[in-house]
Amino acid sequence: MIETLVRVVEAFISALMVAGLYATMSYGLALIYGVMKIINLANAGIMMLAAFTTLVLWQTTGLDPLVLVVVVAPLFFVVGAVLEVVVVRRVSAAAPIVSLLLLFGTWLVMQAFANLIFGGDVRGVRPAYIDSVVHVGDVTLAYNRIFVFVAGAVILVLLELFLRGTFLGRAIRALAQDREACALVGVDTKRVSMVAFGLGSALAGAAGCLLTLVFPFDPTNPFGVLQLKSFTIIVLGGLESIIGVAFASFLLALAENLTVTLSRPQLENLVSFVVLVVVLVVMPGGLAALLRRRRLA
Amino acid sequence: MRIRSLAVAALAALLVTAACGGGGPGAAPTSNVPDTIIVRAALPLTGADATPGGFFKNAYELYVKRVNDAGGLNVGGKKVKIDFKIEDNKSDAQTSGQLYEKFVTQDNADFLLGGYNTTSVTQEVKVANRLSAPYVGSGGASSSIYVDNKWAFGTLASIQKLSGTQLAFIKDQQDAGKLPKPLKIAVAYENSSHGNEFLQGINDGAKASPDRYTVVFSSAFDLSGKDYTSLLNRVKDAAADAFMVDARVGDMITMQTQYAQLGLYHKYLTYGPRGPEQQARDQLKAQGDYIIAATWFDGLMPGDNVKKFTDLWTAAGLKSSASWFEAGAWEAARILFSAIEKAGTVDKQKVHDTIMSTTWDNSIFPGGAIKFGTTGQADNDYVMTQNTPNGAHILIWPKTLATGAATIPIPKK
Repeated sequence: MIETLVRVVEAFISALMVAGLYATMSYGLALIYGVMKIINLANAGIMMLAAFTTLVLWQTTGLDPLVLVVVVAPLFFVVGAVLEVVVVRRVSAAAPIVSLLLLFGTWLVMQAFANLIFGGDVRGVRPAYIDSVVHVGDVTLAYNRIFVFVAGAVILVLLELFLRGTFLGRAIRALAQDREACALVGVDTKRVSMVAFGLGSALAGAAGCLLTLVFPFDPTNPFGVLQLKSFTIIVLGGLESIIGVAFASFLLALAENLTVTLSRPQLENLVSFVVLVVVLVVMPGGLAALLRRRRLA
Repeated sequence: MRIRSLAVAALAALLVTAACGGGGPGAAPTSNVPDTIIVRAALPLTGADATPGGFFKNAYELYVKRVNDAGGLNVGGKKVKIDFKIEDNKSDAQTSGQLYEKFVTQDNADFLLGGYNTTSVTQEVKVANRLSAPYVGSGGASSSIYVDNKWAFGTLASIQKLSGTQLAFIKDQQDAGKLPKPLKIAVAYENSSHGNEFLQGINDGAKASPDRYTVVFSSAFDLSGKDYTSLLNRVKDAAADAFMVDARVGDMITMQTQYAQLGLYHKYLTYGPRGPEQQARDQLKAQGDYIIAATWFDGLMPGDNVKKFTDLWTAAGLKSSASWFEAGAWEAARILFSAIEKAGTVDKQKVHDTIMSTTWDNSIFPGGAIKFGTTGQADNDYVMTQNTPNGAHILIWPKTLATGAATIPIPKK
């Protein structure tokens, strides 16, 4: 009984660690959807390219990915902004399926590009502290996972500060609420959309950078599975809520870890997708809508 | 009058039979042998399996180039060039099945060489059987691929045999007093037929010899896992002596990294056929030391054929080393083209029968020969390896192939 309890606590803490990465990779998706009502299927491709960029920078400079995130995220802000201007803007007024297909195609192009340049080998970044762990009672925590969690939390705080404390951030939030009203009061909606897409891409870039500390990767894996988990997270969190995304990341990671601990490990991915379907049916607005309803009541 | 009619009909039947290439092996007139034979393969050149797909491509193309440079295959006394093309299945099983269908129905391929990974090969074998097209491959070891199979041949021995080979090695180590009896085994396996057969092989061994092996924990896990902490903690709780895993390279790297971080230790540790791959060694560094693997081929194996093969690889200046991927594809090509020459015809049934009835000597696989069983799957022995410090590995089993003594139990770090 006590052993099971310890394992549940471990699953809880382990979920917290994974949630940092889950949240970082999902913020961008939620932000872009909130502002532009577009599901950025190229999110996984951006994460993947950021992971390879991190690998190259790590190999050439020896700098830790935790430092490199400061370089990689701005770089992918530019990539995202260019993508928005050159590709996404052209179809922003079209039916949602058009942007969906276009960004899916962009993801495939990114994959083919990475295959061409880097090949299909499994790669990874191995910092000096890869073997280092800290023991908290019976629970063992690896440094690399702690660092990724902390970085994810820092990114969440910075994102919230930016969205609430700056004019551009407030403009992004306003655009997410009412695009027409923003245009009427003189907000440059095109520019703000570009910044939002760039910011979303920068967040995906940061996730790709941090991911190298935890997972081996190739042009395909594990980005496809992570992309699907991101969908679950933003649906669960509420498609436009950054805080909701953070909570949803933790809840999903916890559900997965408890499944592995208390049930059968091969059900882990099934849990994610069952959650996606259930949330869409039972509470389509996600956690954010649920909290709003409670506040109103 | 009636007798005359019968004689004419019999003569006509004989002529038709002859025109269709009837007669015994090697008896076909050379006029029925085309100037070129069409051979096709679909490989994962992009996507998740692009790396092994590239290894297969190198082996197939090198083999065909050598044949064509020498003037082609000798089919019934006629030199026949090979028209060989590879198409990209994008690491997708459905696409692979569709491509093989196209090869036979649109490209009019005479023969097929196989692709890579269990799910793709399963689809390919279905198509080969539906369209009665001879197919030789080395990209799938799961026995489930060859259920109800007639036209496909696989050069890789089954995954259950892989488990069995490891248990035979463990038995030897128990007899030498290096491992306890019974050995408590924890098994984690990927959620696929590959993984299921790995577990089945261990369970079969444990059932047959309960005094030697006890499975104290077994669990499947999803492919491309992101966190194995909970699974590994359950393995820890099982207090096993041995941890036997069946995983793909990416999952192996993630799991072994966490295994080391969590401070787990077992006297015997294996990831099935994984371990000595360069990708894994580069990633895991010292965390990959002492991992044991069972595989279908290793370039360290002794013998002239293996040396010739590895030298050929070095001489070709190919980036990849001669691993089991290249060796298996090479053997598949060698068997198919040798069978066509031996049959002396391109008649599909006869080539199929030749492949099935022949013991393919001069093989680079352990045992030096390949013979296909009734299901079309080869049953060769495995060779076992153990990673050593500094990124190297040695052969540890069978004893006749060993290049060093296994370090069992694995030292605690």
